[in-house]
Amino acid sequence: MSIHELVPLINTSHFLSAILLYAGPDQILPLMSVLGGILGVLLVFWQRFVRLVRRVGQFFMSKLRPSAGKK
Amino acid sequence: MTVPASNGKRKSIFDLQSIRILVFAAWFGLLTGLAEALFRVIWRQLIRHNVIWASRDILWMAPISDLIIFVLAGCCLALLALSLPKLISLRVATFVLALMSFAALLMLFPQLNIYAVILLASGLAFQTSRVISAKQIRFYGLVRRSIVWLVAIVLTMAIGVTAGRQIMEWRAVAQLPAAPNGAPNVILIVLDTLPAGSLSLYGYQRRTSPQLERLASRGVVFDNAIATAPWTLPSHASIFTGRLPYELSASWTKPLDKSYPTLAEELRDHGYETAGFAGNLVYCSYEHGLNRGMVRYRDFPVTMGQTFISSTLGQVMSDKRWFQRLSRYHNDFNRKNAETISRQLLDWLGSRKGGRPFFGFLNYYDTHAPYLPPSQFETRFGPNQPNGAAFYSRAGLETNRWKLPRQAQDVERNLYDGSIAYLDNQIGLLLGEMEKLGALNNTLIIVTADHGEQFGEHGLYDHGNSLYLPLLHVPLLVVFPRHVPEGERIQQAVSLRDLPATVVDLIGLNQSTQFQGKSMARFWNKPVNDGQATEEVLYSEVRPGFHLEKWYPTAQGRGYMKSLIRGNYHFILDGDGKEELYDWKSDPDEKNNLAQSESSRPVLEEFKLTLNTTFHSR
Repeated sequence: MSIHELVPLINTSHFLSAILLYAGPDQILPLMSVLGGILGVLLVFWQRFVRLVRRVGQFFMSKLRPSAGKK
Repeated sequence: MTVPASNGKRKSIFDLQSIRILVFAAWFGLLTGLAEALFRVIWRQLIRHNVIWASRDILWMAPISDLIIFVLAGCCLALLALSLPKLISLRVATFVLALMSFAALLMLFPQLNIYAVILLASGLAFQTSRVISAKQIRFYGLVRRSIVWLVAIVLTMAIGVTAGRQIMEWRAVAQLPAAPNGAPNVILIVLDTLPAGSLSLYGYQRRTSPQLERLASRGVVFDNAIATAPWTLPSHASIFTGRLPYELSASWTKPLDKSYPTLAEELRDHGYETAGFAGNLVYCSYEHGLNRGMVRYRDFPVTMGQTFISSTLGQVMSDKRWFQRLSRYHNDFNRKNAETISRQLLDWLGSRKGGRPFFGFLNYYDTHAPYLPPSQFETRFGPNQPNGAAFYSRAGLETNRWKLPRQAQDVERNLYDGSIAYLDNQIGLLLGEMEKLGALNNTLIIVTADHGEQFGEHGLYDHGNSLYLPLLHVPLLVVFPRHVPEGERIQQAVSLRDLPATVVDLIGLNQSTQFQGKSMARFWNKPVNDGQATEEVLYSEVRPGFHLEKWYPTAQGRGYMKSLIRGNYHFILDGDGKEELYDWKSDPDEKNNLAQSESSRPVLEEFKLTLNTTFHSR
């Protein structure tokens, strides 16, 4: 069976399973390191990060409030 | 104790910033070491059944190691705080200590690379130091109260582990059944990583083994002894059980399980006092099941070096070249040389009471890389090198050796041969001491090696990566005055898996104990003609190792390799189907592969048939 015959037989769930099959140690190890590194940087700048999240949240809330008032 | 304060009053010495830093350092060190040790022993070893490459002494050694490292760091920080108080505040010092602590713990997870460890540890340390500096007084009180408890826990663990080991040994001796009258003693000496071809006993041009030659004159030398595997664990497992590697659980990641009895177990059950002293701590320790049946088993030493590398930070530092240069020590920090192992055996022999027969197993590790013989043997086979022996041996370990220049490879070879000469000398000294103790009367002595070593044959180095003869052909001497002929050499090829059957046969236990394999006594008890002997097929194998270098053949898709030796032929089948056939009697270097030759086709087919019908892999 050639790859052209095979492709129509692969539905979405098969496709996802096939992708997950590639998630072996070679993929997990760099992923863990990347996530660990990002978490580390976030922790160093945690207060600023929290402040930034709060400001972004307030910005969107302020955008939503006037429209709610108009109603 | 008080000191003058800046306001004219006196304050406690513990209120000084530099002293606080030191107390913090000790507290962080003890806590980190305990956390590391408990994680490795309880989670990894007891729950997950992983090999941790450490003894239970790690429970007290890791805290002591971290205590030393952290207090040293604390001293540096305290001195800096005294000279640069604005730069090094208590918060900065806490950050550094917490960073070290989190890094040590995160390094226990191989999923994280070193950069991720540093980043994550920095983040955690930053937050920790922020919280601590906000509640400095309360935290310092907690540290001062709890540090006493931490010290008490470490001391309790040290006493508990040491006493527990001794009590278990006493109990094991007390439970031994009566031994048969006049039962002979057994000494099994395994020279780790030593091919027969590197011994002058087997014709090597350098005089590496005068003591073994002298010993050989009192017994039988097997000219063609074959190991069942080219690396430590499966080869030892076969020597102990008489089983072939594919029948056993022992592998790169798994220990020898209890499926088959070991020689030590059988001898113990017949009243023998059994003891093992291992130099190979990588694959010959209690964690790999080779201590089964041993009343006493000494592997990981209780030394400063072992203590230091029991913590993650100590381990990482000991591997660094800068640290080795600084400490002027280039060997493995927990390395046990032949002198230490012989001394452990002699101490044990001297301390025994009750006159039971004994079984002593010795694994000498001096001929395993890095090759660093004592100074008097360093230049035995070559001139001293300007860079020193350590440079070459470490370079050989850290690089693919074929990348090293020819001259460096020659130096390595000289050092290796020097290591053999040192080991040979130590064996001579050991036997002399045993003679003085009267421990050689009525004693069966077996000397062999678990596997060989490659120095460029077939373009390969090291071991565990092929099935060529430099890795499989090992020395074998059997000495047992009045039971084994003296000065005889046996030409027929024999497998080391026959050793347990040989031992129980020679000491008269073959009626009550059965091991797979045949007693080698068949070679001198009745005449054996060459025709019969050549019918025996000797099996060896190696599976791909998870941590082997990428350039190893076993790691390059050639996979699970099997080898058969029968008569003049040596057949090797790789996992990828590649076949090799050598006439090893006429072509001992195995340079001429006969697998493609039409005339060798029947021999090849017969080997393949034997492999499929007789040696089934699990």
